[in-house]
Amino acid sequence: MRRRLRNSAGFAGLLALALTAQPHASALQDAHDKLGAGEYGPAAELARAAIAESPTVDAWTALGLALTENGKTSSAEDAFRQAITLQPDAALRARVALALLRVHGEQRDAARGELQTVLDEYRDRSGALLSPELHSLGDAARELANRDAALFRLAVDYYRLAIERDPDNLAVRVTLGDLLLEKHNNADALLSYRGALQRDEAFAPAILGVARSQHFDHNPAARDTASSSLQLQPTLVAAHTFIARLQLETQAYPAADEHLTAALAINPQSLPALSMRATMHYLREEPELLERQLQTIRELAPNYSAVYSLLSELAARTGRYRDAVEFGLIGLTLNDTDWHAMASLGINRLRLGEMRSGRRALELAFRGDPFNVRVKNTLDLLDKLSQQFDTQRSERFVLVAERGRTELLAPYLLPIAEAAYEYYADRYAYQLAHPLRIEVYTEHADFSVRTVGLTGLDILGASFGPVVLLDSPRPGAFGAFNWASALWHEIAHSFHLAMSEYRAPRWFSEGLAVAEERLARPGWGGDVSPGFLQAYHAGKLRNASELEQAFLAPRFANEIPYTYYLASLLIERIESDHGVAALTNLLRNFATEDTSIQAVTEQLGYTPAAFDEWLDDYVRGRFGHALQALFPSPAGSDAAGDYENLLGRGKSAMAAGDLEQAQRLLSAAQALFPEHAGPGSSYHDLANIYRELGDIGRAISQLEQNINIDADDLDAHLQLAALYGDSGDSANAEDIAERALLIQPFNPATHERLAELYETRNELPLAVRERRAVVSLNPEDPVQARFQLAEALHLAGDDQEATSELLRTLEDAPLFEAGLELLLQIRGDHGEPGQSDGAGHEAAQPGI
Amino acid sequence: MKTLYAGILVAAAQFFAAGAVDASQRHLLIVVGLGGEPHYTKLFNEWAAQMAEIAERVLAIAGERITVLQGSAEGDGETPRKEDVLTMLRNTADASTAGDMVMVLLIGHGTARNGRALFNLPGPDLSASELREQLQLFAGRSLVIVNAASSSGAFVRELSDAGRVVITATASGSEHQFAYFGGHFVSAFVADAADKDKDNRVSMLEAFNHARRAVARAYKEDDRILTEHALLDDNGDGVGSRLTEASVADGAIAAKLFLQPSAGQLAGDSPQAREMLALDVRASELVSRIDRLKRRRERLLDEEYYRELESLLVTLAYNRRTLRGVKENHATTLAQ
Repeated sequence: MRRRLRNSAGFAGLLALALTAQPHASALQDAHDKLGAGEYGPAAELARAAIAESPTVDAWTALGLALTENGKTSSAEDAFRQAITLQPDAALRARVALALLRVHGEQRDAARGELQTVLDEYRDRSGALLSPELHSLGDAARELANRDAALFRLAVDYYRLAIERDPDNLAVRVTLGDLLLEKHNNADALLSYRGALQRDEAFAPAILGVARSQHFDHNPAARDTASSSLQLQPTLVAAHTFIARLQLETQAYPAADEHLTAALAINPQSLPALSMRATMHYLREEPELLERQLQTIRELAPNYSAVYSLLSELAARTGRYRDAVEFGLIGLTLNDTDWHAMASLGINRLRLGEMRSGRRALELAFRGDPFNVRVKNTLDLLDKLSQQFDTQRSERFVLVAERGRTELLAPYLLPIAEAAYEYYADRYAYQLAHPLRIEVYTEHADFSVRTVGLTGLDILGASFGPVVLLDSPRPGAFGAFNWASALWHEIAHSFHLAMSEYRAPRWFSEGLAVAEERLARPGWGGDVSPGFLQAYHAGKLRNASELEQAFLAPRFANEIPYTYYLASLLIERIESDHGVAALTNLLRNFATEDTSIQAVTEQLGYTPAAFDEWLDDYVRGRFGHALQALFPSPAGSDAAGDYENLLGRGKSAMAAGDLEQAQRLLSAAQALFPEHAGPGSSYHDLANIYRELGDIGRAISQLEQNINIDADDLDAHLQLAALYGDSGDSANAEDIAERALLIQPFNPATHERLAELYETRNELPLAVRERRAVVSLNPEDPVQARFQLAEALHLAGDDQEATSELLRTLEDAPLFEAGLELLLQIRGDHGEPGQSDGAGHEAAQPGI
Repeated sequence: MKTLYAGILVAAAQFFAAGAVDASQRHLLIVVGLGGEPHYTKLFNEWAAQMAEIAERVLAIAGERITVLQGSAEGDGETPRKEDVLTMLRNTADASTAGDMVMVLLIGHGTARNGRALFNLPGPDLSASELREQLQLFAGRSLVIVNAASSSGAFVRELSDAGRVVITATASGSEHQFAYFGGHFVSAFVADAADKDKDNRVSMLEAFNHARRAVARAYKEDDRILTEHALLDDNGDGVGSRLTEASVADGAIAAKLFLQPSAGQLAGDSPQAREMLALDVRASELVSRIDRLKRRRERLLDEEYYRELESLLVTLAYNRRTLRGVKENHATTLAQ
């Protein structure tokens, strides 16, 4: 009984009033209890019984609420009207509930007017109101807040007051949490949900709130949490709808459909459930069913724009940004104060490179709803872009990066981008509209905001088609990575998105982009690791026909990175057996045809099962030797054939100083699994051993092999460049140092070394490029760095620029003799100013 | 005589106006305090020895003007006590004259107790107020006080005075952990990177900045929180600056004070030496004109600014070239 009271949204006050008529009070209380437990039919019956006994405002209101939950809108409206007619000044809840039923319909303006009237009437009377009534006032303010942002705060204030008035009013705690979550304030939302659960750990709506919060944080526990709320209250329509959404996000359409059917069986007029069904039809590419569903919604609620916000959101989630923009625009034609739709419009326009219109939409969204954290973060970032970022252009690209970094990155990044474009345009026989925009972010938080509007995202690059984003190359939270290969990868996506009209499945596009990296340069595009093969051997990775699920619902921490690599192997196999035309045909077909794996395998001439086997054969064919080395057969277990055993013993021998033994063991290990490179492999250790033994040639060979497999290994690049330099091979030293810049372009020492090498080899334009890079990196000795740039410019024949740099150098260091002497050299030594005979032949004069 | 005297006065005024060239002597006093642990005693003694060696070999300060007060490396009874330090200061005040530059370098540990800033010595510690009193003996000298000890920040307020440079390893008495500043400060005088304006000398400001940055870098490389923040005060307001790039409160005087004499000053009293000195004076004037031009930068068009700058720099270039020639001749003469 105590639990039921709590679940019934705290009607203690009403109960007190109702106790004046005992049988009526009992029926009414039971009605509220049933309502709180989600038993809407029985609740309605009990409310009717209470009305029959004594037709009070509260009884009619309870009936209206129960009928609303069951989608009996017309009858619910009648019930509310009865309550209002009976005693208008005691029917606050009925007035608000009735207006909310009408607010998306043709009587929208009257409904909104009524809500405003209620707010005005009760503005100074909150002291006398009960908790549920304060809850209703909060709902009224929330609904009107789209036209007056200050009402969001009023809504929050009313909800908080309702909680103060009755801490056991759990429903209002959930409502408050939902509002906060809507504004992307997950932390406070979760506090509110937990506040309810502290009072009743079985309060299903609060458990659902926690599930929403987990979903916000990309926590896979959201599904189980939501399911547990349904177990407690099977009629919780919001839970069915939420779980359906989770199913849609993983393409589990039949399961989603089941939950939506259940939701609509409870409430056939649930607009959120109907919207989710519409979204399901969109994602399943069922345009007729989509239109039919939208028509149903229009008939029920002609001004209901939230369906389009939802469509926009899930379209964007699946990479269909153009559709997302279209849906946002439609939503706004129905309701130009749907700030959610406006925010979605803005963010997706920005993704498509429509910077001005995107910003404009976000500014409008912020003005209408200044509490949306995502919008605020994005606008702050746009301010930063305009104030602290620069651009540089090439034929087809615009590079946008932080002031001071653009100049440094452009000479390296733009040529790679142009090369990638030309390569893909030729290979796919497709031209992209350009310019394409490349944005490079130093702060990972900025990159996250640009990508999803919120911080905490765990990727290093993204492509929206016309816009490519890169995390700035630096050894940051995710370690060093090869930014050039990341750029190559993302530009590949730009082509895939355009060719498939944003409909290529993720497994295909990621697999193809990684495979393209591998084709482009040695060491790009990921490499096989012991971890990958262990996961493969253990059966933890998906079959070929299920790769998409790995991206949608990863089952373990490394599943996504391993799946990138596995998908690239599949693409390799497709190209190898069917040619690149098979890949480009698939891309083009995705634009208009079925994108399911069944369709893909059919096009290629396989069943899904045969497809799985085909990939497995390929992986085992390529890495059978490594699999054998990692997992030697138990019978006659041979330490000599055990890779990890040999590797471990080799490293131990090295640590103990036994170089000969270490060399023998590590070499044996390497022979078993030569594809394993980078930190933790045998290559670094063997290089060190050979260096110790004075065998520089072999040391070089080890490092070369290593970086040709693992192009992210900065340390190996730097060591190799130094070895080449020390052995007098400046050509190779240059080449490797250049490759090191593709991982870490912000290391002044690498640029200085390269500058020296280029100067030695008289490659003066490149020397100038490197000297400029050093200057831009805020070196420890800026005067010396700028002087060396001036020298390089002079040697390269650009005396005007050389003089300009020299003057800037000497401005801060006027007694710098080398600089002063260079100045005279550039001027041609015509004597002191004012002491020439005009013919410039005056000899140098004393300085006094 | 009057005319000559006036001419000398003008030249002297030019010297001191430029600030970067003067004919004064340099005096260096190094005090090594209590090390406590053998590791620190050894380190402090190394820093002191290094500073003395740099001062003589690189900065050309005469041996008799370098005083090092330190205990033995083993830390036995020879460690200087407060009265030794005060005596040393009195002796140096007597041996120096107005216009000389005196740098006092305190290497060791410090503490701050009950509002008193202390440099740790065997027996009674040397307080900032006691040091301040003693420094009154140095009227007319350019004083540079460098306290490289922990908890040294409070020395700034006590020792601050017009025209005096005070450098401390820490920003306050509460930064009591071992300070690495001293070692980096010493090595600044032989670090190419410290000579930011490439005039072949390291000013007090350059040494301070070099040490400050080196300390920050060392902590960052070791992934440790920075627990020492060096300060410099030379405007006499009793408040030290950390001298990030944007700071303008302090540094003007420190920028023009060098332990190392100019080439002209080193040359002695020959005609060539006098010529070198005059070239240095002329160079100082040109540098001052460049400084004034830079201050007018906002009011000039780019073309105008850079044209005038180039003209001054070219003149300076010929000045330096001439100086090099005279120096070579001078060196040849001396060798003969």
